[in-house]
Amino acid sequence: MPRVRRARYVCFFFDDFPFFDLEQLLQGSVEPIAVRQVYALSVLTGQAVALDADEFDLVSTTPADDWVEPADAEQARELALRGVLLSDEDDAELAALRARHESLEELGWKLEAALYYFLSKWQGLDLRELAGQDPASDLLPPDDEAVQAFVDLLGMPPPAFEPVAASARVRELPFVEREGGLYDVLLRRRTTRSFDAATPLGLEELSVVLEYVFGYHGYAPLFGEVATLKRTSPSAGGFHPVDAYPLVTNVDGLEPGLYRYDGRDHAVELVAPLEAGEARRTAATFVCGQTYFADAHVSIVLAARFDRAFWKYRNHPKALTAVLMDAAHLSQTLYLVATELGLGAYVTAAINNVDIEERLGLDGYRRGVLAVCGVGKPAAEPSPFDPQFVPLPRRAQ
Amino acid sequence: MAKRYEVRSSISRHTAEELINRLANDETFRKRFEANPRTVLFEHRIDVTPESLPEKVTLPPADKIKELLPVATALVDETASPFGFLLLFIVFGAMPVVTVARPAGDAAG
Repeated sequence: MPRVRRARYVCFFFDDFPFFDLEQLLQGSVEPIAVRQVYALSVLTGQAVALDADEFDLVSTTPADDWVEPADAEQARELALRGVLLSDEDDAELAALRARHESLEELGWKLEAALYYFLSKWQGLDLRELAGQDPASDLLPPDDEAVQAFVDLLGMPPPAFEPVAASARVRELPFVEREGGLYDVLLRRRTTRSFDAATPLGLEELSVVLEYVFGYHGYAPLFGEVATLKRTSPSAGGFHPVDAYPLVTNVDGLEPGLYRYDGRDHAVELVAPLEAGEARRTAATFVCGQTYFADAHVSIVLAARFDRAFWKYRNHPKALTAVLMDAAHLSQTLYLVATELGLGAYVTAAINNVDIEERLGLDGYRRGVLAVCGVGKPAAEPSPFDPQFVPLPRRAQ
Repeated sequence: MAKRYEVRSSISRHTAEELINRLANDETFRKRFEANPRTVLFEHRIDVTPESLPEKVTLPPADKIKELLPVATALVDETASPFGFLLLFIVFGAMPVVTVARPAGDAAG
């Protein structure tokens, strides 16, 4: 008989929801009740699994550190297929779940971090479909009626600026004007949602972006082969576990396709060639149908090497935060370099992580996708999605 | 001795919503339910022993279910649901807001 043990990457929670008393319902009457349902949240399947009392009893009495023969083999197998138990049965699906669990344990994924990361991944989500639009066309902005309905439902947001308490001691600071160089770039930095498809991005422009955002510029041996690296963005421990995978759509002298950027030797490695139209469709899939981003000449997938990050920060409560911050730093540096070059840039967390990982051949556990950013030639006309910023009135000095 | 009512349920919020909706609005489904109550309930992760079922299952009128659904809804605080309860999508020229009625992985349905 196959043996089982409880998966460690599971947590439990309760949900209350409205239903009707079943016994009454079957006899023709309606008695409203609230159901108190216990769920197991499985990192292995990324699913919330509702458990009945017997299932919960089986799970809670099954050890996590020892393989045992279950009293109810059928029930145990069902729970294993749903990622709550592990089974040693010789079955491809169950073996895949075991392998995922082994990866999580081996890499030192912290349970809370794994729950957040794996349950917030998206697959096959398209904002055009959600908005009731044609999924083969460009994403359109919502009309005023839709925005009003949103505000009516949720009320007004909290104020943009936190009011100063009347009793607070306030020291007004001088405005020090700085111009040119970095300061000029900082003030011009913005998200671009309208790219010029008629003009390809120059290979040298892409080369500058990759070198100064994702390239390595220094190396400090610490102990034997252990070294800390230097990029133009900070990274926890100098580990720089975030890699760049350019999806080239429209670059002069570089065929469309998926690439991996080698930041040490400043080269791109072709992962999969794509036709130009296919490259754009792939980019749109990656960013959940945000076609204004898919039009960028190059989209760049930011993917973490969790095995490298967690080598040092194993089972660490801040490890995932540090990795996510690395991706955020890189995207801001991309904006600055792009702005300095007169290019447009974007970054988005609204991505189909699972689809991207499948295309790039990443397992999602050792290597997983965090965000997608992009760069390209901005179009003359802004996107209807672009906010039109005006200078903020300053207090009198 | 009183008849013992035995049921095992691992119905999820999503499945409960779906079941109520069909009981209230789908006449074909209601007829199938009345003809094969145990099968239909099992498909919705509710396992009722044969002995627990009445000899003849007669569902309450669909209108009665619709009428009392708000009463059931009022028994729980929907805003406190870990799944949320709304399906919203909007783009304000920035990060799209997508709130789904349940996590993508609510497989219990």
